[in-house]
Amino acid sequence: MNRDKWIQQLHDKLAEHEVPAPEDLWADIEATLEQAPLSSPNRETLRKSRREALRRWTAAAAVAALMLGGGYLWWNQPKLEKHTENAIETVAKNASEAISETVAEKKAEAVVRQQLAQLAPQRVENKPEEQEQTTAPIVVPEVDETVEPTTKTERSTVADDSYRTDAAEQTIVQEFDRQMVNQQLATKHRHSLTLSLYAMNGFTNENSSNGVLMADAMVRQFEKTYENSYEASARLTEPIYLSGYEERQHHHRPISYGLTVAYPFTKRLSLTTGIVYTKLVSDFTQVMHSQQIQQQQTLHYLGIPISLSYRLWALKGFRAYVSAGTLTYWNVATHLVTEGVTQQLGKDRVQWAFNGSIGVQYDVLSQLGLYIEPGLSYYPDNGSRLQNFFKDKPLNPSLQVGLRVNFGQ
Amino acid sequence: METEQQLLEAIRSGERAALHRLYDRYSGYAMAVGLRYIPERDEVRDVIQDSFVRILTSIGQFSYHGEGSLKSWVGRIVSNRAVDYLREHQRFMTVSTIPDEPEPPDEPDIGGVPPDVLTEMIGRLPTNYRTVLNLYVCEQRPHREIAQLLGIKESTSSSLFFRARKMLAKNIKAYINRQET
Repeated sequence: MNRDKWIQQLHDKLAEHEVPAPEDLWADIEATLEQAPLSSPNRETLRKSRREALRRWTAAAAVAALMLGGGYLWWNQPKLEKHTENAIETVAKNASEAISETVAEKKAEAVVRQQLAQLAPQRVENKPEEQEQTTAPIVVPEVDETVEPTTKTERSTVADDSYRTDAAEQTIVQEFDRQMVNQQLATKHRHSLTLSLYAMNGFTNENSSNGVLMADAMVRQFEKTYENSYEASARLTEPIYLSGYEERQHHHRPISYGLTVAYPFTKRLSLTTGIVYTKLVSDFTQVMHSQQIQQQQTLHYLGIPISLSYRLWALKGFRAYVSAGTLTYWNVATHLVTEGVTQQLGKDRVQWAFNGSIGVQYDVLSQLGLYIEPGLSYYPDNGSRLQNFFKDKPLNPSLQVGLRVNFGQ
Repeated sequence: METEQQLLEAIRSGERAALHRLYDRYSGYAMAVGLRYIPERDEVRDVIQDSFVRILTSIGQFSYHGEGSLKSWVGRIVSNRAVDYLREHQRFMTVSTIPDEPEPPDEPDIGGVPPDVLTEMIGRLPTNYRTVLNLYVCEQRPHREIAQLLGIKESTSSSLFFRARKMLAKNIKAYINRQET
């Protein structure tokens, strides 16, 4: 007999079958319900509340880390400035001592005072577009090691040579400039760390509808039944779908929240890493003739992004940049809700993503910027059986918006 | 007779007796579903009890799609709970790939076989076989979903189903032959 009909016959035969339940079963169920009159046997509720608590603790920990990190750097800021002031005073004091030793040193005094005069306003009067080059505190602990020997050298040089020429003066100025530039660069790279807190989602939902393929075993029977017929020859080129069966998929836009830190290599180039949480929700509808079954699959991922950003342009608090990198996702929880019943599923494999984006940031304060980053992400197939947004839409535009805290500004 | 919709409305309005009516109406069906997965009565009792506690406490989440959808939902919860139970008790054999049989079996007419005999026969199949057969035939779930649920390959699910139905067909044929002699 036809195999499909045999399965249907078996299904129909069993569909209405009933076996009397044990007599005292209801009493036990009632007793359990009395103990847990509200929602589902407390285990489910407890699990949910534990998950909720974990989520809150994670969020609180992230905020605490942000505040502690920010607070630490903020707290150190005055000390850095104090170091700078001390260093400048040291330079001035040493220079004054040197100057008083010989008459010829008056030229050196003029040079040093000129340098100090140039340094002081730089710390105070920064134009926004020049901040990155000039605002960073000038001297950190190394100052005591680097600046002082230099002045001592100057002092001895000046003391020994009472007939200083313009060329020698120029050398001192150049040396002073070189050291100051080095100090500024070192300080800037060490302190203009940025911390970002952002939300991101994809631009599109994804809908698809598939027929249900006949199972291999059924196909073999089909081929046997219709041997030498047109249907069997058609099988060679076309898949066989079950009539009246359909699977519809709707993948919601993925939503991500992240906390990242950017470390600058140079004025323009920086490396970003951090942690990202992503949630993927998909609705599946199975249509079997007149019956429909709704399922909702939720996948939770934690990811680690690594990307390089290159600043293209900066003007009056605005800056534009491009960014490219990878994101590695680990699936931390997966569940499937079928008509209100939740089931845990096996976890997805590691998922990679390759991202490219262009961003614009506006600094509302010198230390706080708002940014928007449209981009494009590619998710290569990780080979797992889970159907999700990444698989249905491997190349997807995304939009990231967030806050960026700039330390050292 | 009270429709499923009327029963749901009574439950949702807080009528406690309606919970008992739901149990009375579907406990026999739930037992039949459960026994196809777990033939041991003592064990299936726990699964049915747990399933009904879930059904009665999560009925607020059920969305009504017409007469019969409540029964399907009950069956699905029992089926899911039974699969979870089998997984928890490690009844599944780890199977990577099972080669298909070259010839499909000759399947007998099951019109004359009582459903309780069919249930018993399915219960005697190896756990993997009967789980996949139940999910595919009774729950009408596609192999993709079965594979996902059991953590096996889609092709393995298909092969297990093929073997299960072959073994079941053989047992049914033997039963029919015994009845005829």
